[in-house]
Amino acid sequence: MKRDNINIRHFSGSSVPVGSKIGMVLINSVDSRKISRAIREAVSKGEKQTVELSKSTKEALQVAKSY
Amino acid sequence: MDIALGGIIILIILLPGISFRKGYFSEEFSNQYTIRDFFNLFVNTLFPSLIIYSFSLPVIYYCFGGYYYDFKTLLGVLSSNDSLVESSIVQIDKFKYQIISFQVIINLISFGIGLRFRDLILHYSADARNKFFRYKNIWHYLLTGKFILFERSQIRLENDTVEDIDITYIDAIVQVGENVFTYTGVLVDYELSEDGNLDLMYIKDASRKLISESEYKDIQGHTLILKYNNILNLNLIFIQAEEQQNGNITLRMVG
Repeated sequence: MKRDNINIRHFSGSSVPVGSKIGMVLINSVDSRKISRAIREAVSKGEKQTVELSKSTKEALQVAKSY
Repeated sequence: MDIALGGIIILIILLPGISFRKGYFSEEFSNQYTIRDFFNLFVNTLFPSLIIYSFSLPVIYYCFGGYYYDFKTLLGVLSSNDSLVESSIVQIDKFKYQIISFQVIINLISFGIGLRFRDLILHYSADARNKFFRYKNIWHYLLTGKFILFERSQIRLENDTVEDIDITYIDAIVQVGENVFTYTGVLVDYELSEDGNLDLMYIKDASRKLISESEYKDIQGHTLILKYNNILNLNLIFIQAEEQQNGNITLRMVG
């Protein structure tokens, strides 16, 4: 079975693709608040921000990759 | 000829085109599906109907025991000659189950083709690259960042592509009574009003601050709904999340 690259956004006709698959995993993870704050930091400082993810989010990303 | 009967016949002829449009303009583009005047309905559905009929009729003829569309019978129903109308109705009555089955199947297929075609157009961003395919939902292009692909767009991404956008983040300046707040959060969905304008925006992990303050305060809850009518300004930020080798992520604005 061909696996999607979750780092690339795929536009589909089924719903509004506001974000990518990886974006959806992050938004719905337990780390979402941390991610939201990090984005605000990245925007205000103009530089990339690294977020340390919890074990469950890392696992969710791996699961998303496997589909 | 009864005018209503003629109208029904024309409607049946146009139905595959209508079904195709239903599939093609579904979900966030459904405001384009409804056509209120008959001339526009006719122009917009005749062409897809004719294409679908011209492909499906030979299939029906060769694969299902030689059934064919008898245009003499069809035009007979539209005729002003009463005996011709009567003989055509008798002929239609004889094959009513086959005709109904054919219409149901062809309309389901048309709907499926419309959906698939829409999927392909969106997948390859043909709607953003080519004005011919563009949907009349500007918010779809703005909120997903696809407007960057418009020919007239002055924004160019140097290092990333539109497909690299993982999260759309918003800053919205909102008037609440006499106070003006800045709301920020991750955009998760939106809703259009009947006239095609933005109605609601759903944001997650939202924070807000008075415009004069510097510190944001987190808003607890699952989703914050912002009404577009209360928004004075909207800042869209497109974020890419890069996965690192240790499993953590780096967030940055696309550029």
